[in-house]
Amino acid sequence: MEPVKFDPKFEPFGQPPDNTERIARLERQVLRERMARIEAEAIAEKGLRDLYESKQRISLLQKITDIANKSNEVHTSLVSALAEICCTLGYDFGNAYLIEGAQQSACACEAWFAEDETDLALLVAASGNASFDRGKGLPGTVLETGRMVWTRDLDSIPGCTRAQQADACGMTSACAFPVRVETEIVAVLEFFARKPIVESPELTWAMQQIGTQLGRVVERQRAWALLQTARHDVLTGLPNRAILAERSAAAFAALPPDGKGLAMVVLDLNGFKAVNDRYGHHYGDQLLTLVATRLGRAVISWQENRIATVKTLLARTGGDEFVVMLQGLVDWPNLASLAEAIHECLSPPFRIGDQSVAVGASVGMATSDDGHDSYDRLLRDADLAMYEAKRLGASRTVSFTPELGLSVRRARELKQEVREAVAKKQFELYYQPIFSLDAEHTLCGFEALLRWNHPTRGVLGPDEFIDCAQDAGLMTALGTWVLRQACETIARMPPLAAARTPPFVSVNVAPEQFLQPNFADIVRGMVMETAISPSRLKIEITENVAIIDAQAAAEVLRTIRAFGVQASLDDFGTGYSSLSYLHNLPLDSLKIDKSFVASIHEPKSVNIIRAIVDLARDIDLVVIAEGIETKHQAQVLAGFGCKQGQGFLFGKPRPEWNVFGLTAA
Amino acid sequence: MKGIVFNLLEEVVTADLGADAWFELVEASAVSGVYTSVGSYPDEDLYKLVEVASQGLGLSPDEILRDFGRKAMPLLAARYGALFSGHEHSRSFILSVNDIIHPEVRKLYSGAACPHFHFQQGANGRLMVGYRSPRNLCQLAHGFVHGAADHFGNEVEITHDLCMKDGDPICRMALEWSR
Repeated sequence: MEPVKFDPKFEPFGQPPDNTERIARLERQVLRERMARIEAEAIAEKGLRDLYESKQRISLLQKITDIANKSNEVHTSLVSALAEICCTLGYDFGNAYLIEGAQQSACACEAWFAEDETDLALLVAASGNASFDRGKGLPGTVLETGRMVWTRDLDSIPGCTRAQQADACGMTSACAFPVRVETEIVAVLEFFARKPIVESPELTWAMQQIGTQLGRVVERQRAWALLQTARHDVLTGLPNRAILAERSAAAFAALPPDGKGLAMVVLDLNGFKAVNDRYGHHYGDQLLTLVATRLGRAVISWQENRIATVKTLLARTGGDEFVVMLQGLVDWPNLASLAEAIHECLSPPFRIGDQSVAVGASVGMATSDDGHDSYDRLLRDADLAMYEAKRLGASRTVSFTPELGLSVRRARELKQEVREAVAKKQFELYYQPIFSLDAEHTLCGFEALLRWNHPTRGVLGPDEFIDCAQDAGLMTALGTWVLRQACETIARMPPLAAARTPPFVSVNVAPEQFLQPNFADIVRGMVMETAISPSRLKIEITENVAIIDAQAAAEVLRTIRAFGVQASLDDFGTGYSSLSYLHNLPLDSLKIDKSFVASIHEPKSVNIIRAIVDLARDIDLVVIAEGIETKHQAQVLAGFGCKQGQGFLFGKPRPEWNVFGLTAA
Repeated sequence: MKGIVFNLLEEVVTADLGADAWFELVEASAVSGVYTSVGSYPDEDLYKLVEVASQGLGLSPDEILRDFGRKAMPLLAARYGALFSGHEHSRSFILSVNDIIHPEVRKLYSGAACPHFHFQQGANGRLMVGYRSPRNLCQLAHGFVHGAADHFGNEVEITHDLCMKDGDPICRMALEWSR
């Protein structure tokens, strides 16, 4: 080894240098320090980023596990999982396939999620019911290799049929991974993204876990299907649908010419889904067993006390649905007493572990006559009566009548009409003004209210169709439309003379819409697209969102409010009105329900309004009163400290042109 | 404001005008001058630095921000090469900025409000970029877009359709690539 030689200009070693050299040294030292800082920053940033990403993956996995725990239904679970994955990882489109034909093909099952349906219409259309043979396309490749597939070049995938559509929608990369039950692939999830999807061992691990979790749902649904083919329900020990069908068919065949002598009582539990969602399906299963036992006892005791000659059969025909078949002549009063016995036996709360839960039932009944051509028809009549009972509220009984049959048919037609109304642009927003209750009476904003310009029935309010829209699964689509319209209205609103600051528009948002995983993104997108000031949009929710998922609701509110959008709690005082909701939900205002305003002459209402206003003041919420019809009401409310109000006194809801016309500056 | 923006500003100023210029700028602006990429610092500091630079160089603050943004892009590319390497065109790179920014901000401050760019595809391949920037940082974004186009060898024309400085509710740039 060469001996170390010092550069002669530094000798003697350790001597203080002259000033020029000292400055040069310091500059070199500063440079080294800077490089060290940058290196330290890079190390810290990598650590923080890894930590962030791993937290994000774990939270996604937690959400998927929750979805898998709550549901026994594969389709619903797949749709929720696709939405969560896309929203967390920033993928634009997710689609699910079920594996069919002895592992030979992957068929799309109408379970998909698109960040923006209109932009991705081409790809959605090409994927929604696509099917791929083993080895073909993304799903077929996963099926063939059993591994996750990543690509930046769809053309490189053998048998790919959608490269063109994906490209037209701006997708630059895609991935797909299997959902497994043990080693068998039962489904494939695929994702497309505009941004490059970067393959990493961590992400692969997360996708594997997701596949395993979703596989559990498939496994449960299979087990359930197997039970259905057995003759007895393993869980409750009751006869199942197959036995009911067999016995009913035999009983029906033996009916006399007048068709009388067979009755069906259908009952469906209320609140069972909530118990399942809250405590998990194991808990739900225990509850069903207890319910079955009580029902069995109730039916036997009714039979012994009332008509011993009638033969009865209690069957479990679905998740939380039971049927009592009665063979022999039973009159309506006797049937009514059976329904009564059923409601009564379910009314004491059920104890499971250390929890106490209450469930009720909706009961529908039908008796045979010469108008029935099969037992199945009779069962459908009873079913229909049960749905009517459910619509009327908890623990109700409804007997089938021909009039009921007719009105249900009408409701079905209405549902179809609501579906078409969206496409035919028959919906319109009306706007009701909200004024300040102080002496100046300035215009603060408007509440957007949905109206349906029905081609034959005139202008309809939401009361007349919102249940239908809900049944038809249209609430989210309709809600998105409403939000967009309201934003566009804000964008074109001229300056209004009665307003001191640009008025807000409040939009009612249904819980299912509000709790979509990308609701905050949708709101932000609409504000940006219509280029409005976010503070002019106010989202109105009811306490129901907090009842369904308080934590998620608070998170959505925080996000939209951080962006500048306002939030208000509607109908306060009518529901649970729990103080904890008010405390935990970040809000700007709350609305006192019109029922309190209408009864403002009653001391009880006055006290409630006072309490609400005081409470709201303490936590900095503006109180808005609804349904103000008289000056007196407005004065009293203002006296209590209520800041804003709406109602016929200030103006009815009007179409947009009318609002602008009257109040333009 | 993320510390990296100040670090980049220091590098750009030093490269263009020498190390003494940054020293003078920091002292004249009466800001702390202590910025690391893993920290966040008051927006006010950036405005002060830009204001003083604008006086010293005889350029408007908008010009300073645009120039800085454009020149910062190659430095960003040198420091965070991985963020650029997955892209072949500045358009796809620009479309990915939310994915870059969000983890960067959130990893330090979970739940912090993030700047968010809203993209809309316009006619003829135009890209509309919406942004809520009450303090006129859309000019910095303008410079970044130019810098990104330079990096990928593209040419882009930028027009500001809406600007919060002019009283519009949001800022919105329209980007049109000719290459």
